[in-house]
Amino acid sequence: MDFSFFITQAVSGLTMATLLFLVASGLTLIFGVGNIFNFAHGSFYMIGAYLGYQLVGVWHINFWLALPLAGLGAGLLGALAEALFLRRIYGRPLEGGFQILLTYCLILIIDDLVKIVWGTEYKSIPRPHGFHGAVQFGEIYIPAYNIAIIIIGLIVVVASWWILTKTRPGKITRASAVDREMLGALGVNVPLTLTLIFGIATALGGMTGALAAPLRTVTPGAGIEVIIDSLIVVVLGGMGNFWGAWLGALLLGEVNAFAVAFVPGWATLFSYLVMVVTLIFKPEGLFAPRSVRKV
Amino acid sequence: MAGFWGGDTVAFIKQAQAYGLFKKMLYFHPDAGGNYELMSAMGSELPEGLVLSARHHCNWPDTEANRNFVNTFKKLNGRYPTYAAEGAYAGIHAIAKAVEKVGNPDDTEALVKALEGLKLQLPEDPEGFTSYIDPATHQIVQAQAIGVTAPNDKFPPAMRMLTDWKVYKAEDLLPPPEYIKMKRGS
Repeated sequence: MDFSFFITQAVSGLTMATLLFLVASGLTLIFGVGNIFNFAHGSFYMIGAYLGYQLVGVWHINFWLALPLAGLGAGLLGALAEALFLRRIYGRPLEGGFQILLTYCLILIIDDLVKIVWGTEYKSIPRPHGFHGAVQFGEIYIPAYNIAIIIIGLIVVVASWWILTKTRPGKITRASAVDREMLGALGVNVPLTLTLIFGIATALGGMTGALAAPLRTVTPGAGIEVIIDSLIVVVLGGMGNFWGAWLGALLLGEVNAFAVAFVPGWATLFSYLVMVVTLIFKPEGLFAPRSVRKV
Repeated sequence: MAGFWGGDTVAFIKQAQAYGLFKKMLYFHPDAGGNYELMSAMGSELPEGLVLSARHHCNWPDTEANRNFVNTFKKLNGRYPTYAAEGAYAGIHAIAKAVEKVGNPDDTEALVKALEGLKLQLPEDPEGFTSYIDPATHQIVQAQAIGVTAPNDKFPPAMRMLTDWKVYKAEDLLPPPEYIKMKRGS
């Protein structure tokens, strides 16, 4: 294996890792804060992709403007879903079972909604202007759009760190992961906080859908593909561990990139193998300290 | 040579283009590559020079039957047909003809006998040929055409369609009887 091949694969893995993190971080945030496993997170990713298609492909809005707009749209729908439906099952006995039922229902409804609004044919968004080609370093080809994705991922990571540690809303978010009742006693509007966090996490997922769309197809099945990978990342990083999600995504992205290069027939196996090994030996997550730390 | 289907084809072509794959090698994708869905999804993003084929083409053969089918479908549905649509059309016709021949839709064995060797005049049949169901393998026997993507805006929203057709006669594509026997282990 030569050096250029190694770099190409590593960058490809990093691109996948960035997309995985952007989706899984929302999922793990919702779990850490609200104790909800949002099975339907992938569907909001898919809504983001379709909104991206509508904005860029149909209304011809600038791609970079469409990204946050698609995220906003998905986030609003997510916040609505939380306020109207999920809120009703908090604190019920057997809440876990209801969560799965409810979020799975949302998946089915959203999947068909998308087919009704946009039809069943595949849609495609081209890469934005200026990002069609690749940057070449000798033998190494790095597609320009992949670099854009990686940079956006880094921006989100840094911005999240700053918001979560330095700002009041960020601290409230972390507090609600630790002790919701106490937070309420301190005068914070907890239901509103949960809705907002759900909305923001979903918006992130939706924006990722639009961001990934030029690399993939916009199709009704997109949500299901993403939720499984996100689940692996969340397990690797620890349920509710925001930074774990980043490291978990990195691990999964690179394991996948190199498995595909060296043992292509077994590549899918390796992804799940990593998850199974983690669940057996360190179920709280690879990167969690002894006591489970959230966010 | 690729064997993708549907959305995976779109994703692959987009990603491969970024890595310059099509400059380095020829891309050949029979059976599902030339699906109209791919061309309508990608529009002008689809590169030229890809060697593709499909089970039905909107623009081949240029017979009245095919043109009729494609235009009627467009009128009824607002879009041009994919090969899946045409396949469904062929399937329904086969079932209808078999049931018409037998008279009783519940008599499975009689329907099987009726379908064996059944001749169906389908939109994808070139001039002078009729599709039929091979009694030995129960597969439909058809001519195939492989083409290359080139600019063509007669079937919007697709901006590329296939051209430079190479046609393969149905008789040349039948598996030889010894091969069938070997595969069935008898």
